[in-house]
Amino acid sequence: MLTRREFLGRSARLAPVAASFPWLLAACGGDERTAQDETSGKAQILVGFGTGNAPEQIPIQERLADAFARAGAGGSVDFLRIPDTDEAQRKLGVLIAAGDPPNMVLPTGLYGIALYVDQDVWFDLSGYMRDDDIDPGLFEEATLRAARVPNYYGADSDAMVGIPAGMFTHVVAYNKELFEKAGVPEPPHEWGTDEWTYDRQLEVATSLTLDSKGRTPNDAGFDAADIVQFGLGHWDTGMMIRGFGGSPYDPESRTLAFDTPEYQAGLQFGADLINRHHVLANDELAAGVAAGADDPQLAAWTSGKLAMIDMCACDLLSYGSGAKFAWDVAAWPGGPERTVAHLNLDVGSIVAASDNHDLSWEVLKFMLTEPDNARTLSVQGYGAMSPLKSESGKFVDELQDRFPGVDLQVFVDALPFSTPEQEEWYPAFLEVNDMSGQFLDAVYQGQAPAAERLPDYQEAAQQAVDKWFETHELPQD
Amino acid sequence: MSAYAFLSPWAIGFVGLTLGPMLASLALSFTDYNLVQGADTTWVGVDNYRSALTEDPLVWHSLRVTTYYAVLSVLLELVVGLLLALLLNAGFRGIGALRTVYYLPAVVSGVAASLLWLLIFQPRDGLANAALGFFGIDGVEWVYSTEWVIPAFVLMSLWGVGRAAFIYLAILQGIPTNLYEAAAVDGAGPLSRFTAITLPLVTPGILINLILATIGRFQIFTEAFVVSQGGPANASLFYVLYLYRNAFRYFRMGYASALGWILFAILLALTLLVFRSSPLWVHYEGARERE
Amino acid sequence: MSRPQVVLGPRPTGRRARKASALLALAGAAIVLVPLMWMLSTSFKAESDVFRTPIEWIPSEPRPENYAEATQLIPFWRYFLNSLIVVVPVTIGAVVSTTAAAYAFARLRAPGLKWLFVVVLATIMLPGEITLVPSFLLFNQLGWIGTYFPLIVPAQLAAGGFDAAVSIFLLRQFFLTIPREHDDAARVDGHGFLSILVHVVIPQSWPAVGLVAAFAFVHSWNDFLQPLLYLTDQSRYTLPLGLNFFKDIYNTQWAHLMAASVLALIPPVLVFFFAQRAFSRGVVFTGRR
Repeated sequence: MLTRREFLGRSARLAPVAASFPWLLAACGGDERTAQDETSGKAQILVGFGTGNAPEQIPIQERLADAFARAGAGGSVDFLRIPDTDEAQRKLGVLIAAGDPPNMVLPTGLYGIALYVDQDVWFDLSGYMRDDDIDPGLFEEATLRAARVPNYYGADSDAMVGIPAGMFTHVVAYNKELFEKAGVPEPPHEWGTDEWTYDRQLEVATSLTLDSKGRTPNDAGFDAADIVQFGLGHWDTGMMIRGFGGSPYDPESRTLAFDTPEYQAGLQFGADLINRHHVLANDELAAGVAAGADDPQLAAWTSGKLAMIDMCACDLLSYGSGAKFAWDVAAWPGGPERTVAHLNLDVGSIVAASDNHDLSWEVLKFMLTEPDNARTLSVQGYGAMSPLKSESGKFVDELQDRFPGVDLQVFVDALPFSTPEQEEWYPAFLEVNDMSGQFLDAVYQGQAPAAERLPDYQEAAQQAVDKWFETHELPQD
Repeated sequence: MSAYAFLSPWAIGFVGLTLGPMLASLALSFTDYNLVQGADTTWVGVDNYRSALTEDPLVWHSLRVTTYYAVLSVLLELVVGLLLALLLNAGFRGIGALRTVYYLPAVVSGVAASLLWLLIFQPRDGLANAALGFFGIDGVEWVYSTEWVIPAFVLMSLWGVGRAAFIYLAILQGIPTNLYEAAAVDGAGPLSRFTAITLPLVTPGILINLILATIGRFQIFTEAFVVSQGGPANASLFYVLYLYRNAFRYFRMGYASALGWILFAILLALTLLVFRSSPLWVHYEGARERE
Repeated sequence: MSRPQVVLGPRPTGRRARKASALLALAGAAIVLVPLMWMLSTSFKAESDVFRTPIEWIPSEPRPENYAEATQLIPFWRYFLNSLIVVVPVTIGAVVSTTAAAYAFARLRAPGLKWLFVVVLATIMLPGEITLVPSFLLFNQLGWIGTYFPLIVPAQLAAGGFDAAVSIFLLRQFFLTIPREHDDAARVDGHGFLSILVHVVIPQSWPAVGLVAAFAFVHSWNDFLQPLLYLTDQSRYTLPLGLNFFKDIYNTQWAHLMAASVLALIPPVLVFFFAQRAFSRGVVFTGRR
């Protein structure tokens, strides 16, 4: 039996040995990855800009990577998986700074593209498209517009910073049981009808908003502080702005367009839905009817407290599967100027600072333009609709079993009315976005009218844009 | 002298792994280095510093926000930590399990922890407001309100008070019990035993916790990033969060480096101040009584 | 002649006082546990029930399968092992190097050494965000990207950031409270510098040493940013990285994430439980043998 002193003595002598042990261990964990090498033909795809790392998505991507290696274009693919979007963006920046960036980012949403398009992070693929005779018309028009970044490259340019990899249209999902209980007719599944307007939707939502005593906002004594069911939830008020004809940026004049009547009207309409009409639940109000920490809207919807929500095809897994009541989808209502809904788009891009662009292009071509590969990757790999015209309709067949009572065709019919403008780049994109909360939170919370805040926002944001033009140039200049 | 050999691992680590990057970031702070367009970097002298301190309102705003948070959370931690340490030294049965419970917050991963706190701070059904309601107080909007978002973060930091308590505990353990016996014999009650014996002898622990808590709290980042992203309306835009945005969103690494060194200067000044004052109130030797 | 004496700090004297302390501590512990109870409860729910209202603290249909599934959906045990490969050397190295440095700082009588100690603190006053890129470039030059070296080596050199500084600070404060006379007495008995550290100083500092080991273990076990930055091969990822794979922008699997998180909690909790016994052992004062 060692006495304490002896034990300590021995430990002291062993400690230096123990301390050197990790050096040996770490040496065994060494990785022979060297900088990108043309002859070895390895292309690295960074996955983590949003989606792509879920346990069920990974095998799909791996299979396609194996198929590429076997197809004999002369190279192989490996994946750099970062399971967190912000960290993936950070790592991309660090790797570029270190001179050792991944070859591609796939998938990345448009927002991820917009973050860095003016920092020359993405490589223009239009040259490769032309050389290989790939017809951009293979893809749905709306997705092409997004990949072309017209505000940066110009409206007539055919530059492409990414190949469409998956698209998500938006529809209105509604709780059939709540509609039935209130005796309100269900919204139309057909897009672009005349009667289904914003005002009409407001009426419907009002009949479906109830306080704890069952009163709607139209009834006397309605208690706005005690709402137990909302007519609308999970909303992006930005869509209303477009419905009224507003848009954030005018490329001709190089000015932001926040301070226009259309923008103002749209923003105010959306804010009023929350604060004046009390039919729309923002995150805070949703948290009041259902206890959900990460996504209170999801909690409120799955608990049956929201009659209508904006549903992206990307929400099918969460909002769709989580709903334990009868539900269906309908078209978006039309604003005074346009009937429009968001389009979310994922693309695959080549990192300009990487080497071996030729190999990267072969990989993207294989995975995103060959119809079967592309469809498999979109639908099973990312849970998206395929952006290829030939495949986009198959979305319905692929998913109908999982959502038996739901009219998935509405998602497909949405295409002519869908636009990706909400994620479109404009100068000083990040700064202007980051300062919006400061000016517009008050509007959304009903503490100030849009007419009062928008001029201030416009002024501060325009300064940022002007400053951007002092130090940057658009490629078309 | 073999004593210097003891310092050598730290010295090697400092020079090799720490000093280099620090000096590099200092150099970068005098340039307009953009993370992804490094080739175009030019020297700009003190322009980043000047611009940060005179032209960028968010710098002062975030400093104000951070100071407000740091003062509240450091004070609370110093006091509550000491009280907790006294409790955790009481020698009752099961104290080991209880100590482990207080340490758990330090062990739970950041992702899970921040989510748990969001749940607690939900305005309607959250436990925070439920607890207030128990005492008849109206609930508040917590992280959704500009007024209460910082207090919410202070409470979150208090969840991890175990860490400070354990440092106190380590110091407390060194105070001889016979000092208390002698004082009791002299007729001193629990309160005066505390102020005459415990408090003076635990001052090294207060010093450690004060300095470490100050340095740590001023650099709060992860929780803010996950829970509030600096909102609402920049009410929780902490300094390091703003720095991170400049470094890894706008890629303005030169500017961000300047922001980092500004914080460094502030923390260094505060630490030196505390150290300078320490002979006045910290007791070291004489902690042991011998026959 | 002095006798060995176990010193335990201020203790409440009466049984009533001890009971009161126990109750207060228990009340506080209950509050601390609440978020963790939610974590445990969520880990047994079906994914679609996680955010149901009203909150179900005890799930009506518990799914212990979540735990088995969680370890199969991601290569959980592989990540677990990787974490161990990193954490064990880091803990040993951190304890050894910070103890050595703190002892030197406490005992050496060199002019200006006090200022060197301020330098130790200064290293944590600079936000890591801006030294991240230079550090990455440094490790890249050394060819260490993709290996475990950037994760393990700094701890061996007492360069483990905040925790290393805390450890050195804490240990130094502790060592300072041990009068130099003890060292002198031991030196008269023939002990060298190392021997004094090991036989005289450390036995009087178990609480601090135990704490340092616990901090180092937990910090390394939970570290997300360093592995994320320096590892490239998914099969070498550590547990915190692995857990994040349950998060997805469209559909996070909360129940499985919580189940995996609960499993990941066990080693640091065990380590801490055993380390904190150093507090109960108290501090042994041995003047002369």
